[in-house]
Amino acid sequence: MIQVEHLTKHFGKSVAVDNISFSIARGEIVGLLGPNGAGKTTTMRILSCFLPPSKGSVTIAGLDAVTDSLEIRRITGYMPENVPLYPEMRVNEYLHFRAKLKGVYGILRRQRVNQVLELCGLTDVAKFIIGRLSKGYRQRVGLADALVHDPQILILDEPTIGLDPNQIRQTRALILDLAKQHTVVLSTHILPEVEMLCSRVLIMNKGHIVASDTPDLLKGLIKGYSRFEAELGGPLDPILARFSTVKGVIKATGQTQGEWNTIFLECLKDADVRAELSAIAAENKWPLRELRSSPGRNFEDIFAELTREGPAS
Amino acid sequence: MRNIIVLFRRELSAYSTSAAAFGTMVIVLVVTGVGTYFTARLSRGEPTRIDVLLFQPLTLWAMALISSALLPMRLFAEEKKSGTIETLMTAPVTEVEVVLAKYFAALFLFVLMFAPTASYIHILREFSSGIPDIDCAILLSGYLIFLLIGAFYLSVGLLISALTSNQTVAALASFAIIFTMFTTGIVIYMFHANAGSVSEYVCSFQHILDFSSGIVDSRPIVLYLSGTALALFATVKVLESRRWL
Repeated sequence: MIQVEHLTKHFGKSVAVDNISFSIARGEIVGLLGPNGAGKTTTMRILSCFLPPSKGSVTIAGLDAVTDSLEIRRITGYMPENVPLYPEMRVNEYLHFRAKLKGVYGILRRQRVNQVLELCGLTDVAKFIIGRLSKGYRQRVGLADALVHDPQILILDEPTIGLDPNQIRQTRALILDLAKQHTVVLSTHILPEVEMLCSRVLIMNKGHIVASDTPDLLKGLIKGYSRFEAELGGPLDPILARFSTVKGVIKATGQTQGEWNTIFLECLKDADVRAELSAIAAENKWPLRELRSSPGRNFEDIFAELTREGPAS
Repeated sequence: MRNIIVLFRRELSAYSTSAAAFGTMVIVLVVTGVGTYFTARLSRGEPTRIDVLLFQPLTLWAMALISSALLPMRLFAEEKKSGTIETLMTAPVTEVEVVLAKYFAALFLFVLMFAPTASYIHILREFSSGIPDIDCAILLSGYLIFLLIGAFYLSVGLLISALTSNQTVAALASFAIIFTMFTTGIVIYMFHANAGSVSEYVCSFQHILDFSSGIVDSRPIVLYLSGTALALFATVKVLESRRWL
């Protein structure tokens, strides 16, 4: 459905997107994830034909983003970041205007507008002036606008930003529902959202794609660790030294708080060293207060690892 | 074409909800009305020409300059500031359609604003005695040049609006440019500097004098139409320029 090859975008001398390639199949929900300035919005603007690529090619449904931009715009629905709207218009007036612009005419237009009003939960505010709506409703108007011409592809730039938890849940449910018929590309800062919604994630950093996979596989992509935390008394340094020699332990770190030490152990995946640790503690007469496996790495850790500022960059 | 109509109607509805547009309209009518009233008073009891009464009061031209700087100021600046330019340009519309729709919306409002001034002379005739039939041809040729000059200045205002995202800057900059264009002609006219040079041909004031006394010259028509076309073309290019990088 979407084919991006060696896409590069310069703004003057700064490079916003640097030689990225990916492809998105029909019916996928793909999440673009990355810190601010990673190039997510620029990528989405290029996909929506607002900006042309500096280099490389973007093909959407077999159409080239530069030469067939008008046709692509007919089959894509784009919701920009912060959802810009005309504040003086009424909701239904705005949607009718947008539908006409996107080539939906006649009876079909009224049907489509009513459909999206209902789909986005806007029926009650259809006659309200957009400028007086709350942020959540405005977000939904933007989504309704992106949907009004029944596009094949939806491009949503941070669709849930600035919403309250209930609205976020509703919006997510709506996006999941939409994905049954549409190909969805969305960007977000919210990591659990990606895990919840997306069938695939592209993690971007500084204009590059640093990882691309399903959220689950991405977790496995990073070197698997199992982690343990132990609290025990006794001198810190000998404990760390002894624990480091246990088979399966990669790294042992710790800190002392009063009489007790908290020891963090990073072990090889699937290595359970707890039994051995308690034996060692007993052997050395180190009182062991607590020993537990700490929660595995979540998406947030992976994200941090992939996008953090390394000394090399 | 369909898109132009859709966008044109949206711009008109935006004007219709803006207090500034109505405010400008009221001020235009009050000021031009007062201007015509005093011109008529000054020439009380003496025969006066239509062009002196209608097209030479400075109030009319001051209002024309101000409103052609104010009307187009928001057309692009506001879309850029609020970011709606992004939703607008990701809809399947071309830059040319957007520019033409916005331009014609501003022009339509300009005509709507100044149309009532055409009635001044008829009102004057209703209430005074001894005014013979009004020469409608002169009225027409006078308004023709008024429309042409207005059309050109509006296109300049639209171009400036496309260059900035600040409405105030757009209005001030276009007023400065329009004012300079207009007064340069007058200064040249007053001092008869370099008579016969290019400046004589671009002097709006001379055009007004000619047209409002019934001399319809094709050269100013070509000048203003081509000037308008040039400014609109430049506006399209400014809008397209985001695609140049």
